[in-house]
Amino acid sequence: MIALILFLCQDVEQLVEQLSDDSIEVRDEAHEELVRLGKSAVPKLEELRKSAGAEVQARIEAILKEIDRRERMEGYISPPVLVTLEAEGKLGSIVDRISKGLKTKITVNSDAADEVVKVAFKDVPLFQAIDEICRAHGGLAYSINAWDGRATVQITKGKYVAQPRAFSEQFLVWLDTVTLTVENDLRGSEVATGSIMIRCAWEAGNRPVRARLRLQELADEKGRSHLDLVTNRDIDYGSGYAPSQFDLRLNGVPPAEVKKFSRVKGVLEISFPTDVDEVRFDDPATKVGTTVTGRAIDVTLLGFTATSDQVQVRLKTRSTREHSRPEIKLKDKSGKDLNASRISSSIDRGEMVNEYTYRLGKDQEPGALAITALIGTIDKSIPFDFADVAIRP
Amino acid sequence: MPLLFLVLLQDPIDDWNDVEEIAKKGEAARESVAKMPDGFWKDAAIAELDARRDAGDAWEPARITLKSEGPARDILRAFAAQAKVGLNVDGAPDRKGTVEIENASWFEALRVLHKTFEIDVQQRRDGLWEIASPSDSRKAVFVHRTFELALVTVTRSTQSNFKEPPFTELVLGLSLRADPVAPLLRVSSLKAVEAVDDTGKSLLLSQARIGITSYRGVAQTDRSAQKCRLSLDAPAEGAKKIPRLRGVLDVSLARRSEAISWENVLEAKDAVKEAGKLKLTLKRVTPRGQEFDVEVDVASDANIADWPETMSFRLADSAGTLYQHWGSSSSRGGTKGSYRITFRNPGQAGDPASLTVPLTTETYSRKLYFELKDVPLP
Repeated sequence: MIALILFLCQDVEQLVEQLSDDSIEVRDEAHEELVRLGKSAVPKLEELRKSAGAEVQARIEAILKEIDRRERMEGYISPPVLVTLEAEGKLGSIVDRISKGLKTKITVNSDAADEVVKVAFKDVPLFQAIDEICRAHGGLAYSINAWDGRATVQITKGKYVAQPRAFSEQFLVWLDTVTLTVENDLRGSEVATGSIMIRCAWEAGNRPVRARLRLQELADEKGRSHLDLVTNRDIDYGSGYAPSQFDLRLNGVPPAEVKKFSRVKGVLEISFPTDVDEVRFDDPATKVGTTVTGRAIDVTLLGFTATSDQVQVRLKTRSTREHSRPEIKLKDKSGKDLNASRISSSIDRGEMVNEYTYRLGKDQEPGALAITALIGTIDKSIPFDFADVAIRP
Repeated sequence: MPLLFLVLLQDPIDDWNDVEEIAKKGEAARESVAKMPDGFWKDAAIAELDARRDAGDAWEPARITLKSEGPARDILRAFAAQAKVGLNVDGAPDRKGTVEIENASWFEALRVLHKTFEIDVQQRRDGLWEIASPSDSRKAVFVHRTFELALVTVTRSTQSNFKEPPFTELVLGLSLRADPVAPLLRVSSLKAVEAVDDTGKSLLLSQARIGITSYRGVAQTDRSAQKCRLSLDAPAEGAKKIPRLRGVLDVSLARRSEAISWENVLEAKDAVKEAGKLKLTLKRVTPRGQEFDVEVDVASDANIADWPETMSFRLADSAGTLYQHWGSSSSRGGTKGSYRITFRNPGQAGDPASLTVPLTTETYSRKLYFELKDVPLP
């Protein structure tokens, strides 16, 4: 371990030297490499910053900021897992090979583990790789539990069905159900309605803050459009919430002779934050009345009352730039998050006043209060175009 | 009469009236019923005998006799007094009518009031009853002595889930209401045992798709009612109705209820009261300006079947003036739960003095056999 730290320190020293190289490429490569080393390089970087010249000092500061930003963004967006596989063997052991080191959990039912599969593909996104494996075998089915979008995959024995699915990098969009109903209320009126349920999932390690679905085409096998039946063609819950299912509602149903949709086309737009601002009150009981200024929000602690079993927190947040709804967390002395039992918000002269009540367990004492707000967005578009969708027997 | 009873018990049971007659005899009829040929109404008769035995002294529903002419409000007040329910008659129509009801059940009396004044009643979440518009068309209704099952909607639903070929089913939306003597807690299952359309096609589904689903997303405005749905196979092309639909429901009901109260609530801290197997702890009442937060924990040794409704908690001043419900949060499950309810001074009330919580302390389950005739098909 000591040898590893020494090696790392020498490595950091060499890379910092390269930050003042005449070649811009060398300087950029050193910058990238130091950022990639991450948290482990921070102590040495801070030490070297003190003795560096002004220019290198500025570059080290930029690197430290980027390391800090990436650290805070961990869990919000991760690159897609690409699977390369050329194998013939038992499903259980093949999935074990794929799953090694993955955040997305893949389970194989015991009845399917010994099924023999033969597959060959290169750099295929994870969800598509699972689909290819099940398709190649023909007698394997998979389901994705996408609660809150964070997927877990389960493979079982069963006929493979080519459901309407769209794979794109770490995302999957699929047509879950189409329901058409004619309801008679027994008072002489019949109402026809329907629903097209579209669902999505993303690999674990991603935490989008917004997902918006836009339906662009809905046509039957004779080419007639039924898009006008859909009352909510653009579903957007706004910043701060990324649902994993979208219920497109139909006001009316296609005529009885329509047995298929020839085309269900649209796009799912998913947004991720690029940065996170955190405002922190350590020992908040002593900070009532103080304001802490962050990069996106200023927070004033208006009240902090602790009894033996609960803590009441009152604070005011003021936005200085666009951000998602702030998340307010009170930790106990050991750093564990406390559960909020009551939350209320109000607007006071344009500023948000939040009141939280946290329950204290036995022997728990309140610790730091942290308020986080997500800033900026990266958008990803996942187009889908499902053909020959059977909707009636 | 003994001769008539004997003749009745020797014949097979043909309809609900026969079941009622048998049930009136109570346990004395059980042995004879057991000897009858198997069939739907025999099962129904046994279920009635079981239910009356299990309900114990909570069974006997009120009988109503009203011969009156006058304003709707006065007649409804008299009806409520005989039915022993608290009824707010503010929504009654401003007109007169004549009613003649003799020794009728709750639902028989309601049908007369419905016909005379075009009104219905429903129970609010706080337990009081109020005047309501008739909630369904009552084209197919099964009236039991203490229950009423009404068909509310008939829906043809086609679904594609892309795992199996698209399929069509018929979904019946049903509303079950109970006499106030048998407060309905939940419907735990519903299944059809006979459903044939007028072309002769059986609409019974395989066991996998029979079941109860509560109407999700529909506001439950009547606390005495439960909405449920029954899935059947798609009727044949050209079918117009289901001449006879028979089925059975499993329901849970309250056998015993009581209200517990705390006095001097502003001074109360961890004040414990017990009712049946339930232990309630008034943790504290905290003033917050014009509002008061009331915190109550509920616990039992066994799983709690019927949690108190947050809206049924009543906070009052020493003169009995009620505080308004202003907000609530609760977490409950298994054997423990906690409530936090915010009340607001309506304006003229003094400090809170008492807190009252109505509770169900004993429950029982029963089967309810039903028959609906001429169910129209969309």
